[in-house]
Amino acid sequence: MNDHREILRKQAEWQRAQADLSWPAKVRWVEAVRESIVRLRCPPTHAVEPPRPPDESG
Amino acid sequence: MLDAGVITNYALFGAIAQMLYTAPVATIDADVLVGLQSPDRLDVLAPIYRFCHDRGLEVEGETIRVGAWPVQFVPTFNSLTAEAMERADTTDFEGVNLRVVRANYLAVIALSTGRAKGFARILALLESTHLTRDQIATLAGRFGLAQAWARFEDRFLDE
Repeated sequence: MNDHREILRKQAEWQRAQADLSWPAKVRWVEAVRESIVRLRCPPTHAVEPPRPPDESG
Repeated sequence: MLDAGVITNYALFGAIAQMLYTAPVATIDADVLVGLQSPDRLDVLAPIYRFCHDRGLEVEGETIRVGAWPVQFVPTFNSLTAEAMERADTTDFEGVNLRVVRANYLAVIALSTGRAKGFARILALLESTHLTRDQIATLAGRFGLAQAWARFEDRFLDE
């Protein structure tokens, strides 16, 4: 329980620190992770093969 | 674009504007409200696209790539967005002055969309302490959104 509280406290501290950054620093930060955001939001472009039915020959 | 008379005014809004007040938020493009000389023409954004094309900027779908960012130009579409653009603050971005929609207008525009993403924006702005519930209520009331604001308060703020 105390570990969870400590993690939440650190997370809140980190979020406050992020909010206190300058506006250009925040925009540059998002710019740096933009490509990852695009990849996360877009579905994969490769075709996914449907599962094969079980082999009934033997 | 402003000096060339392609647009009459502009202001950043959306996530990029929100970050002036809150922690960084994930976004893939930059939204800019623009005022246009001829807002009633069918190809309303054509002058902007032409201006950008002449300067070698690439069109990517609904956006125009400016540096690292795809930028979406959104003509003001009602009295709320028109006023938000006109009353925007001027803020320094690495030595360049940019017009940015104020927190109260960002919140009420988000409220008017009725989308979850907009509701999250309102909560983030309130948490930032740059904005109060009263300020949102006042502006929402002026634009016929008093009921929408009351519903939002009831759903997310009054526990």
